[in-house]
Amino acid sequence: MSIQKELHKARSILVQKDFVAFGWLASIFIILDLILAIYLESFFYFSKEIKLMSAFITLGIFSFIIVLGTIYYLFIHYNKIHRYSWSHIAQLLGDKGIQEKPDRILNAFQLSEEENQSELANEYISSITCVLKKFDYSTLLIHEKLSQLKHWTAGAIIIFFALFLVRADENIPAVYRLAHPTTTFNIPKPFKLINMTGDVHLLGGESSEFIVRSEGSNPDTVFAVLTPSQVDLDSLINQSITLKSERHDDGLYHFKIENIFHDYKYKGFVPREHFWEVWTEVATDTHQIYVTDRPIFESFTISINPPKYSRLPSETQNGNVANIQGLKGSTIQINLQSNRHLKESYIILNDTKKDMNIYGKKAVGQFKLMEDGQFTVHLLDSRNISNRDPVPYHLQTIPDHLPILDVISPPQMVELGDDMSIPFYLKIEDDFGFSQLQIGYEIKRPAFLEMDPYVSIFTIPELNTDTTSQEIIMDWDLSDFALLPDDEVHYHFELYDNDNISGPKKIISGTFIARLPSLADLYETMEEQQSMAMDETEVNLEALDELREQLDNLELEALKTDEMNWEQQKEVKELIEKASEELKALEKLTEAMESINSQSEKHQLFSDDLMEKFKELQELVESLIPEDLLKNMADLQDALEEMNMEKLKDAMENLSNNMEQLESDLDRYLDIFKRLQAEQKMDEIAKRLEQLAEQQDMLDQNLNQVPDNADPSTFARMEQEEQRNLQEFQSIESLMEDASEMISPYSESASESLEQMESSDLTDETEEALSQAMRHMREMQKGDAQQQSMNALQKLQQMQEQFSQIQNQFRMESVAQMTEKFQVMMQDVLYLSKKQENLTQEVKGTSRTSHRLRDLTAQQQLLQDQLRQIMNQMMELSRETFSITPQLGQSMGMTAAMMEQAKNELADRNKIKANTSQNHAMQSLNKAALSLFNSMKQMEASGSASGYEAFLEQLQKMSGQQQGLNNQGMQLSLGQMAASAQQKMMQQMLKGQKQIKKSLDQLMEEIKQSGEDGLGDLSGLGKDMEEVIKDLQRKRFTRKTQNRQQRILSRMLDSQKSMTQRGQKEERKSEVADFNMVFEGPSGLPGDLGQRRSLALDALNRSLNSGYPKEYQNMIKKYFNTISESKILYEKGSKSEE
Amino acid sequence: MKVKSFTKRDQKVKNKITTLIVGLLFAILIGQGTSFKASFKTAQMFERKGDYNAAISIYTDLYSKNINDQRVFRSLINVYKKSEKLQEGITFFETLYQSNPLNLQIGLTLFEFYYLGGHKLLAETTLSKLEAQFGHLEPFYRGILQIYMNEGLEKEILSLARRVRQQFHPTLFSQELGYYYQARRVYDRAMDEYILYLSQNKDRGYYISKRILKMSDEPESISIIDKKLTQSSHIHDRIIFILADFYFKQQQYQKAFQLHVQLGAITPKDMSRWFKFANQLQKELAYSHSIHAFEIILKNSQDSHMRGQALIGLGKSFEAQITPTSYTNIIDYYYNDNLFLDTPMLSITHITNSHLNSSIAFYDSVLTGHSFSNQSAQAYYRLGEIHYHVNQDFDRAFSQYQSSLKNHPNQNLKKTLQLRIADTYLAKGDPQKAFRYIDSLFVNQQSSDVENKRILMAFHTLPLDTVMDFIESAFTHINPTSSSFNDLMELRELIQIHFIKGSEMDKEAFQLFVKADLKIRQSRLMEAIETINYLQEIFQNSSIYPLAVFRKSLVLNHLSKSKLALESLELLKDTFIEDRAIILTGQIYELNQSNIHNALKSYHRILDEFPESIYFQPVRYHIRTLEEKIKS
Repeated sequence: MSIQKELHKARSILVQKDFVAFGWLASIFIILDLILAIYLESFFYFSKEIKLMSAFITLGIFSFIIVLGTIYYLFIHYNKIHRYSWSHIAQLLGDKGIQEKPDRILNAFQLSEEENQSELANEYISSITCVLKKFDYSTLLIHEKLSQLKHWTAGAIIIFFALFLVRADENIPAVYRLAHPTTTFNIPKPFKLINMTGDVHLLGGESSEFIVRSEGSNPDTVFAVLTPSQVDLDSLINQSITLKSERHDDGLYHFKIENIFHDYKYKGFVPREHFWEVWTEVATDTHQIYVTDRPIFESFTISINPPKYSRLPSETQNGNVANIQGLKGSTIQINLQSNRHLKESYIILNDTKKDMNIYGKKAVGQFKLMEDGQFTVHLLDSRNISNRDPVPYHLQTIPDHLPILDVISPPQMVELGDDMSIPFYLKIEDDFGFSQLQIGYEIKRPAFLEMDPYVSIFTIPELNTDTTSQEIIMDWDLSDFALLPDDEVHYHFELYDNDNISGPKKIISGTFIARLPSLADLYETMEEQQSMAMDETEVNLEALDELREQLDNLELEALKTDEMNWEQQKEVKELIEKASEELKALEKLTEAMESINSQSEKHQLFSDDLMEKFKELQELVESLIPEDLLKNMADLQDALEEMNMEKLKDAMENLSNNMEQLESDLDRYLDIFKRLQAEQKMDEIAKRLEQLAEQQDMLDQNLNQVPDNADPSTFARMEQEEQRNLQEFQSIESLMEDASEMISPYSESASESLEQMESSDLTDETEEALSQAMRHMREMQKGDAQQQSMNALQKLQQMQEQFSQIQNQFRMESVAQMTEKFQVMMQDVLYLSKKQENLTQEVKGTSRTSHRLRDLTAQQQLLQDQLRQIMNQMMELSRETFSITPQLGQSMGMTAAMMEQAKNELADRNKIKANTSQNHAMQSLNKAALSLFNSMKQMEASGSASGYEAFLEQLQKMSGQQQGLNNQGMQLSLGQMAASAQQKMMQQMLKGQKQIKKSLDQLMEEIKQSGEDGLGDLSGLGKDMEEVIKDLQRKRFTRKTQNRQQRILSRMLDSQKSMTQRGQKEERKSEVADFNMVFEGPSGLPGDLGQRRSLALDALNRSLNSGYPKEYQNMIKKYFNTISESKILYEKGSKSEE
Repeated sequence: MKVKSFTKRDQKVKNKITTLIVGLLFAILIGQGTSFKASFKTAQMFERKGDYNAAISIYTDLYSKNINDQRVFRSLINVYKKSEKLQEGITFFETLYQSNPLNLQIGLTLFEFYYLGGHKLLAETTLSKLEAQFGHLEPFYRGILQIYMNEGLEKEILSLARRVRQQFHPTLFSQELGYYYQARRVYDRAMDEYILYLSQNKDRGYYISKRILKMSDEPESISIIDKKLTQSSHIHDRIIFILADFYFKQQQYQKAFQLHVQLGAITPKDMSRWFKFANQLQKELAYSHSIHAFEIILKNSQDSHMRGQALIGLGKSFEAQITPTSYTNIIDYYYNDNLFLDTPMLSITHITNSHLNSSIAFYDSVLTGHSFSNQSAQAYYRLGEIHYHVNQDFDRAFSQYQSSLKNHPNQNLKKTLQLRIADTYLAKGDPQKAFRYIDSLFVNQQSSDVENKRILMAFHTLPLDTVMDFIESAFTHINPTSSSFNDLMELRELIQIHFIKGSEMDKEAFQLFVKADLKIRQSRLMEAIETINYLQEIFQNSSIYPLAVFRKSLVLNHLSKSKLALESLELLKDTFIEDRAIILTGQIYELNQSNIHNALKSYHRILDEFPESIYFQPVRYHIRTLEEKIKS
């Protein structure tokens, strides 16, 4: 155990040595800390708190080290620290004491630690103990760093003294201050600032100045800080204000402060420049600024009350908006409240003072806004203190604008129709409403009448003065003006607004003209337009033909070459341009056709049937340009740019094909157009002949009423009328000649009949009778004149009848011709159908291995060729009639496709599939035959190709039935019937409605089969009917059911209307006139009275032949009689002068 | 419409806008839950219109949502190819392949697009990659083969076929290769492949046989087919059967017959084959062979039904030889095969008495032989038909029909007999009785056959206005698919034009015409001619006149009175029937007078003067045939 004792000794010595080393190290740190503390204090003048805190921290560190040392010692004691563990000390002693065998001590120690020690071990331990005892531990266990630490401590002491002495002046007081941590020491400042102004007293909003002087040194800049002395709710007001002033020439620092409304504390100061300067700032003493209040607006509102006429609401705006806008005449009212009791308040409006009414702190004032300007509001409180710098409010008047008048229709010039009315569609607008809308018009008679124009005003009653914008849709009826052909009404619109402040303002439209034309003019214009359209079409056709030829040539050239040269490219480009131009020309043709159509439709120049055909023709023209044509051109252009020869060839081929199609369509258009023109001519003759007969009848009646001793002027007037009839007759004769020529390609016999009629005895006799009657009238032989007039009338009626027969003959023949063509086609279709059926049977009965299948395929090919032939014929026929329906085309197309399929299947020996296709082909052919049959039936039934009449009749019948049902519904809705009676009636109604629905379905199917369009609004009817039927089945008849029934009826009526177009209307509508027409006015009248007479007569003739109603004709006659009388007077006058 | 505005750039911009609009539209459609079908149709519509950008846009979107839809995938491939947007296609399929590396179809498509786009290296790399991945699958090679075949890569095809046959099956792709070579007219190789295929796929013989028969339409293939099939006939019966079909098609009936003998006549299946063969021979007018074939059945078959059928077939073969069809008309002159207007008697021009006798004797033997008792009704009916059509002995025909009725005919035969009895009444000159008989039938069975027969009888007995009512009534339920629809239309049209819409004279003339027609039905041809002569004399300006004269010409021609026929045809100048008259004139010259020059002259008149005639094409074909005949 003695070895442990030795080791214990050794450890004690080691611990002592280490403690000494630690003491040296700690003294180095303490010395350096001390010098650092002195230096810091010399710079920063630490407060006593910091110093005390530092002292406590130092003390704390020492205590901590002591505690830590104690714990460390305990760890050593319990052998927990390696350095001081027994084994380490044994090893250390071995290393240092027995260098040849350093492990011996450790081994001995370890042996001593074992429980059962051998003697040998004990011996060994003892020997080592002996060795240990010989050791001097204090020399053996010397701390190797100890001398080094001593050197460092010496160095630290030297550094301390060196640094201390360098700033001894500052460091010595610093040591003193550190030694007295509880004492506060004053920091020395470099200069002093003195406030020379002291406390200040001001009125709210005024400015002030204060001055600061420096003593000691003079800083470049002095600052001042103003801190509000009262706490305000407004955080902005609570903020301090910092000002800055440089040193002035007088060596003082001046601070200016403006618009002060609050009390402030203030002081001047200079802050330190560098952080190491021990003082923070040099400041003056703190002083006060005291502010006295002015009166201010606590509330300020401005109300703008617009004038009553404007019906605008009042507006109120706050005083912070200084711009006031109002309609001229508005009242501006100001309401305010001050923070003080007011003694006086007034408004300065454009330098004029207006007092306001005062009520304590409140004031009210007002004025009228008539012009732009500005005003200010002034206050004086009981202390006579005024409000400061009143805000100028700017006044801006909003003007009442002129009304706006937009005339959508009529256009600038219109031609009046039979209804003698002009439809107006005006859009008017004003900012505040209207007071009046009127038409100022002037009726101008033809120049040769030398009459002053009649000027007047017509107020439009439809105007609603209470709106700011409205549309006026009305017809201006001119029938009371007794207008005569060639009269013109020049008119304009005047619109007034409702401004009663500055007086109503008006706007005047441009001048519009309405003219009353004659029917002869209309026919003539129509013919001219048509001729032009036809000429243009022919030119188009030629151009297209040329283009196509060119295209074909180019296509051929393209086939020869792999690349196009520059010239060819140019040619293609030119070709595209030309084609484009031609298409434009075609578009014009569409427009022309549309114009012709609307012209004839509005003036109802032709029969309904003819109009229907014109409409279809127009549709045809509209669909002339194939959709693909434009794409072809674009493709061609692309191909040209890409220089892709394959594409180029394809594009050229496609374009050429489509052009061919276009040409063929144009041809078809021309053919149909020519046919229609012929029909149109026949219509014209019929109409004019009818009118002539009527006029002759009227003349005849007048003649019978004339007394035997009548005035010569009466006979003269009648003679003129007869002369006019004669002229018209001659004109009709010439028309017959033209018509005969025009109808000859379509009906040779009708043409011949017309020619015969024109050169017949009847015609000659009629003409003779008319001339004779005229002669007898001139000679005032009443009896003879009566006889001839009657004769002429009878003959005219005969002619009318004869012409009617010819016209019928023409129509019937056309229909018969067409029917015959349809029959031939139908027979062909049926023939083909039979052949197809036989072939189908034959294929069915043939084995798939039979050699005959090839022959049968060839037969199928033959049938296909025959079909193609029929289709070509059908195309041809479609040039003449619209009865080649799309359904028919579809059936034929389907047949062609099925035949092709059958042929291919036969070639592939697919018998079953071929059979199926063949059956389909036969079925389609049968359908086509059925379509043809139906078309024929319709043509024959209606006497025309359209067949609309039959449908119309059915529709009318259905409308009647629906009306009956609706009446029953009305009775039901009155609810005055017994329940059983109601049930019964509902049953009846259900049955009736079902019946009508069935008829409608049938009618629609018929229309569908006939390929006709123009159903109007029929398509939606079915649904409504179904709903009504459902209601009735549920024994329910509500308001909804009734409304539905009403809707059904009105739709039916609408549909009739749409189908008949304008057929039911007797009146003509107004028409847009030619804008190039020049109105000559009174100055155009020639001076020669003879000339005037013939002009008047011609005008009379034209107008009476123009198909006006009888009342107008009477008016016209009266008017011309007056002219005739004046002529007789003139003649008498001139004779007496002679 | 400025042409200058159609620049390529504008077009591109337009395309982009269209695509955008289409895209938006499509998005809206999808957003609204519009069905896949509607979108697919829209894309197809754009594809048809040539707006490929729009179509691709929709297809790709659809495909992204329905990745397993084959239709969309195929459409997408087609539209890329069609629009020549191969590069775009490559980009698309590359992306697709990256996200679906296990999809063989996409991989193959990518390979194809690389190939078509000229990226050979990429194509080869892709192919190697695919082979490494899918080389163990047959469909992979099928896909590759399809691509090679589309591009016509002969060497690659052969090499591929060799490889896969070693790997999988020795006959793999033989059918495809057969089609491929046939399309390229390499007949021997095509036949080799077909035979190879047949050697392993007996059941698919029908399709291959169809292909081979189609191939034999090409004259140069005939010897090759004959040789190849003969050489391989030992492989199995199916090839012999195809060879028999081939000989049959080549009209080498004897050889075909021999092959059928080789195939045997023992089993019921054999009997059924023989029956079919016999019928086919009959249809091809190879009567002697058909008779032999029927005899083989009668000898070998134990099935009484089959024997009965063979017996009737035998009878038909005899019957068919009574009136050999030597020539057919160039065109159908007069309402051919119309139930109401055509008279079948007029088409019989020649009777072979020996065959007539043998036929009658045959049916008699059937009726006397006990073993054939269940065929009596048929035999009586056939005998009746011989008497009705050939001998025109209506009394005997009537009695045979009655006997047939007594011998328990089946429902179909019974109906046929009833209709025929009505015809016999009419032919015997008692139309009233015929109408009453059929009218009584119509009360119980309102079938279209009975109704049509009733209309026919009414046409010859009742006022024509009533007939018209019957016709209109029939039209209320008949539809265009019916075989009698066009017949009825023709009849209605005829009555409409010449009676309903006609003048009094027209009406009278038409009634005479109907009388003449009845007489023709009764085989009182001379009386019919006299009636028409009367009509010709009295009602020269009637609307039916041309048709009546033409009918007379046909009857005269039938009676071999060519001169008279020609004279009456002369009268038809400037009538609606002139074209037919000219053709008939030509036919008389050609066939009855052997005056080809005049015949051709007549036919050429059709080409020159009637280019719009429906008969233009048949006449043109006939002229060509005739001229070729003259040349040869």
